[in-house]
Amino acid sequence: MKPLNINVLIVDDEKFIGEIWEEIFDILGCRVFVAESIDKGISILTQHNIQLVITDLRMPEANGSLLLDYLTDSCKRDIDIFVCSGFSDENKVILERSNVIRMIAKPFSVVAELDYFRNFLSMPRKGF
Amino acid sequence: MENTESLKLLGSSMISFTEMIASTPSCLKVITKDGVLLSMNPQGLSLIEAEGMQNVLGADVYKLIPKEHRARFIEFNNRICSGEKGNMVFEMLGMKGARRWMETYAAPYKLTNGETAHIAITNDITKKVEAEQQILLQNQALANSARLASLGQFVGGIAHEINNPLSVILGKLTLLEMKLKNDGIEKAEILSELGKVISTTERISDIINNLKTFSRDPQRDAQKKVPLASIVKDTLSLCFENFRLNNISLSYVIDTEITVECQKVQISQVLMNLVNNSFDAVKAGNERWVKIDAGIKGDTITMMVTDSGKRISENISEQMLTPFFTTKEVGEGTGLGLSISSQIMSSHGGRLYYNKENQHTQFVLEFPLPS
Repeated sequence: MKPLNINVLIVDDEKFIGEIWEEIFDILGCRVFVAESIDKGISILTQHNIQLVITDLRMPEANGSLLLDYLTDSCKRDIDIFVCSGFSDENKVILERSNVIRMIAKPFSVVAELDYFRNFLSMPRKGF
Repeated sequence: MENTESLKLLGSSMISFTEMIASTPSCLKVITKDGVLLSMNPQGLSLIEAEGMQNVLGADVYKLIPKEHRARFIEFNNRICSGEKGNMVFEMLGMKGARRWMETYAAPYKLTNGETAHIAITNDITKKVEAEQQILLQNQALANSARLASLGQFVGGIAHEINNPLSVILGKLTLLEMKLKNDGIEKAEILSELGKVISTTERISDIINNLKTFSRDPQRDAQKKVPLASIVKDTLSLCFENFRLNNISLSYVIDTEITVECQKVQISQVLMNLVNNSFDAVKAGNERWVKIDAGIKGDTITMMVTDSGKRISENISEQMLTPFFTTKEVGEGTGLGLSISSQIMSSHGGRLYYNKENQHTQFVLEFPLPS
């Protein structure tokens, strides 16, 4: 796949899920950063020009909502934000958060997500 | 004096002793040492569904006792006819098939031929026994509800615990399939990825097995000798994810040699309930930990569940084992957890108590050493 000039951040405390997202966005030609905690995720956000974030919500030490707050408060409004969670009752997060594009429910389909993000990344985007 | 005399007169004119026996609401009967019916008052005849004394004189009383109670009744009759007094509860089968629970008070009675027979006052306690059985069933249902409610608190964590590894399995296998179709993968990578899938599947398998154990009806289980550490390990496996997500340390140190004789599901329920309470108590605090340890003192096994919360105030600790007492918000706690836990420990010959000497919140479970 032709490299895209898009940096993606994955925040999930489950290492293997980070690996799966890394492969998905690798296939799509993106540069992928994986963080296993919110702190590490914020650190990556400050160091790199990230355009798309996929974050889990419930993680030890800090809740994924903190990252959503950070993205809202830090004027990083151009970042496309997705939430990926194993809790079925967290769809309401999407309703409450205007900056979240979509809730990805675990377990998710790699094929469906590849198709979705291939299509999503081909469309004109916020920061461009 | 005049009053006593007038009462005597009234008594003798009103009722004879025979009439009194005939009118009593209890069954009165005399049976021989071989179980032959010699005499029975009208109330007794009504209870055994006999038309009249002439129909049952000389009948075998043992035939009115269902098989499951008969041996015990024969043994009781032998004891009474040997000179002892006693009482027993048994079920009786009427001549027309009605079953009734009876409670009898019996004493030896000398017959004119010199033999010792059995004379008894017997009451129909069917309604009382049925009410007790109903209460027992309700208590079991209540205990089951409380057990499943305690599990419910962690269902969110369990969903996360299962959906995460399912994502890994589905994702890893799909990516492997894609790479295999494109011939773009080395054997070493396949093996490495399959290893991750296998270990992840085992995680789900463990949690499902523990969930199955916990949700089983404990009434079916017999008491068994079980290592205490295995009960704690299996129970906490259902809670760890929720504790981890809320950044609460949950740890235990239990000697694997310590064994308790118990119904595992019930002790699991007690532990889950205490751990749930600790979770609620410490989740908003700065210091957040729950520790479980155990030891043997003399002929007692003790297990302590301690959390980082402060001591519980005396007015609450005095009431907290009472059914329906709760300090939680309406809809958050049933107020049954500790009282049912306390009942479960009593039924195991042990006890549950709050240790007010500890500087933190500590509950202690005591078990007798297994024989």
